[in-house]
Amino acid sequence: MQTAQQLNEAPLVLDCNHCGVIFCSEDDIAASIGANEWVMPCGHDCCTCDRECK
Amino acid sequence: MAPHYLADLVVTNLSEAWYLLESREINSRYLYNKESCELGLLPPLPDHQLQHTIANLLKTKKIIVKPSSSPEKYLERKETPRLMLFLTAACNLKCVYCHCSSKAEKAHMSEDCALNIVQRYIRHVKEVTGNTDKIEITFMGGGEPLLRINTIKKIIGYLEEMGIHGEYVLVTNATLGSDRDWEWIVSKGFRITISADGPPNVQNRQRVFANGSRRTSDYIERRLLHLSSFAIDINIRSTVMEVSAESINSICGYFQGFSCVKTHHLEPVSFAGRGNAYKNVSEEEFYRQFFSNYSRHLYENPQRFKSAWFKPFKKSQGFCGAVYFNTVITHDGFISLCSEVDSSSMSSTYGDKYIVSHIQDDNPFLPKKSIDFSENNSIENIPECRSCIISYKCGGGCYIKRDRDFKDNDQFYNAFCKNAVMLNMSYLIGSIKNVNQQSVPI
Repeated sequence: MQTAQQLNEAPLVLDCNHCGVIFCSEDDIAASIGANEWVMPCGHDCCTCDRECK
Repeated sequence: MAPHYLADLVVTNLSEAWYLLESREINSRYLYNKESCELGLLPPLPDHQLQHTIANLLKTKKIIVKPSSSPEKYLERKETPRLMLFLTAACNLKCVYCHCSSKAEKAHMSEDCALNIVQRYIRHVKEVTGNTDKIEITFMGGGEPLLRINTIKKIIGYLEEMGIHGEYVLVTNATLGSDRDWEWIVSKGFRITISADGPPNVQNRQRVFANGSRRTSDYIERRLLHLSSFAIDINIRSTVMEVSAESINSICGYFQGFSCVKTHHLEPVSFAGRGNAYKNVSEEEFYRQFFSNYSRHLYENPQRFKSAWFKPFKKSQGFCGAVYFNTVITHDGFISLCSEVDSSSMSSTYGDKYIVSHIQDDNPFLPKKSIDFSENNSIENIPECRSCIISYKCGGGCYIKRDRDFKDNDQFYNAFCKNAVMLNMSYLIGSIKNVNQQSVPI
């Protein structure tokens, strides 16, 4: 049995039986469609120079 | 399948970080927390029960804030910006929309000046990082850098003599250079962005040679076929003037025919410079159509389309490198934060804001004006951004478009921000179905 806190911290999608709200993180959504490749954490991407920051 | 662009999306700010999203189109309601970047699908309950559920959830759900990138963290990590060199203001093309009104007879940067700038940049990188592992130079288009291919070769030769292995990017209109030049570019590991606008009817209407009537599309096709014979990936940057679905579909589809084209960026035309003459619909309608029709392609193929305009999975306090201390050097040695602002704009209302120093200044790469710009344009300091659901996604929007192409913030909000909200959140909502859902009992 997991605690509610553990569930809320878990990275995967949760179906909380208390309220019926299904949460998932953006990172999981990105990974699910292969878009995490272009998550650019330093914010320094440029529309022109095609710089990638990973 | 959820629509890729929920034009009827209604966003309500519930508290500082929580938002309620509703769409009749898909008959669903969602909760979104912009600090933890979590999206929650609400159950189909009657309104009063749902309100109770939401209120309870807002009180009890533990929020783990997702780290965001910021200019401060960037400086703390001792990062240095890529050097973006405009080797010339001249161009062999005379694109009908050119924001900088480039033409053939404009001035070049001298070879000596270019080498001097590179030397100063190397010193700056060494001072900040302690080594020269991060020498990154973009030879920027607008003037056309391949008019100065010999200077490019000199710079690379100089770095090699110094034992420095740099990372290079070339942004070009790809209508110049011999096959041997391009083979040299490929051999040096350049990452290549080609500015090209689409199939021949689009390319030849928008991107024309300055001195005649030859078809630029013939040159682009030949070069793309040539580059496709190497095992390299290139990026295409297309300026979009006609924003109908048919037009955007044809632009996106055309470049899929070239195996070297890995990524594609579509940029809505700026109503500046020569582009100002082509404003035949309102900015609001232009951007609505652009975002709406572009979004289908973003949705269907997110890995192909990469853009500072669209980043639903990113958390950042700025839009682009302008807020992260860009080092764009104009052909006459001025340092600008935006590749669309050169020294010819200095007398404009926005020019002085973006031109932050000159290469001959004492501290040209990180002057006070650059720090001020970064602070003033962080979403933390833009009132319109504070309560916006996508403030961390859009990072305040394209600064130069906001400052130059719109008459005020209201117009920018109506044309750009509203559509960016719908696009980014539609993308998230549309993608949620792909996540492997796990039901875990409490």
